[in-house]
Amino acid sequence: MTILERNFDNRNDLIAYVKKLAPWAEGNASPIRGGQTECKKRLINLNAVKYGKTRNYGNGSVSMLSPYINHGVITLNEVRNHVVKDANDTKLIESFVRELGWRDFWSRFAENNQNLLWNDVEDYKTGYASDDYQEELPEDILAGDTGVACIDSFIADLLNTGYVHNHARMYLASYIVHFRQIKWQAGARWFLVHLLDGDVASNNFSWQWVASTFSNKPYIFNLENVDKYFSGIVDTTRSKNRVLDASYPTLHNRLFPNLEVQNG
Amino acid sequence: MADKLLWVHDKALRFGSDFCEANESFKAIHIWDDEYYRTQRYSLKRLVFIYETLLELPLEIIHGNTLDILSKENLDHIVIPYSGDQALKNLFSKIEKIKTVQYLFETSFVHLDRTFEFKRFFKYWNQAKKTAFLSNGDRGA
Repeated sequence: MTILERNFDNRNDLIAYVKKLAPWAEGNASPIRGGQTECKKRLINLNAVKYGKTRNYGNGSVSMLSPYINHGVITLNEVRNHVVKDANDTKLIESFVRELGWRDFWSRFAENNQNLLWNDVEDYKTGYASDDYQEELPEDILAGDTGVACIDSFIADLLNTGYVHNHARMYLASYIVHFRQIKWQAGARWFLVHLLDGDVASNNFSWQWVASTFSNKPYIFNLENVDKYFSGIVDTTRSKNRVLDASYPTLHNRLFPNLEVQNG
Repeated sequence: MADKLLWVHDKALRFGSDFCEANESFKAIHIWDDEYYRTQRYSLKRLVFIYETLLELPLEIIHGNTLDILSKENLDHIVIPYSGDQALKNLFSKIEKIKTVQYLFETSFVHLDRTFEFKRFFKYWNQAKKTAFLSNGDRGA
């Protein structure tokens, strides 16, 4: 039993110390800092009204509080209390509070259904069975070298910072499960290694929501949608994102050939 | 002098208002458990984030196996912030076999009128939104 160091001259010394403690740990440190002080800064800067209007955009007014919530630096209750105390009209902050609700929902569902955290809650609604999906992530995804420019940017965020915009997480999950036909569990495991806010319940059930094993239909997206929300943030050039460059009916028919054909 | 031990695990890195009651007379520790962190497969990003957060808390960071350290502690009463995380719950049940455990529960985000049996978010939200916009998720008068 050893008492570990608490005093460091700078962040690099701290990082070197943790690296020595855990030589097996993947990657480098995130530029996102831990601690109550950082958490409070984010809470003070939080604009829940603006969040509601811009949250789907890559440069939207998101709180980035999730790493702190996940590690218990702050509770859902404390965040909600902070937001409602200044709200004149709850409709304006509904979107933000509802997002907190998603985390509460997943957590409560997990408490009652621990056996479903890593198992399909329902069958896939993609025209495929679970066995039709690959078990492991291929090397190009792990390295962020898929050749799909926007996807590679989102993977770079995951690997370098441990934080990915929520909308981009849905794109990534959809790309992995539906465009590459890989089991959601493989992607969920990978996210949990890297995401600073990686909570098993929220993460895994969100993957299942995208996969359609915990929702009524698979979530898919196309390049036009990425361009609408992330233009100027990631490369949405058509020639560098060909696999995503199609209408929704075309993608639906390509990705789910066993389902009823969609016209459009 | 401390008569309780507060085990601050990686899902409760705070000394929040919900810990006040226990704050009165306890010794707080975090156990840097290689086996636990390795099993969780946390990347260096996550581990640095956790360590950086620990440095702002008034506690000792002890390197070793969680059960070994807790079993060797002289204090018999262990206070643990509750977590629904499965890996932690497995540890909780092992600790219960060697010590007296008192759990600290977070204030609920919302009060639900009936037992949680929802399989879709919108059904949960229809209930939850009645208290989700109230401070402490209170039902009010």
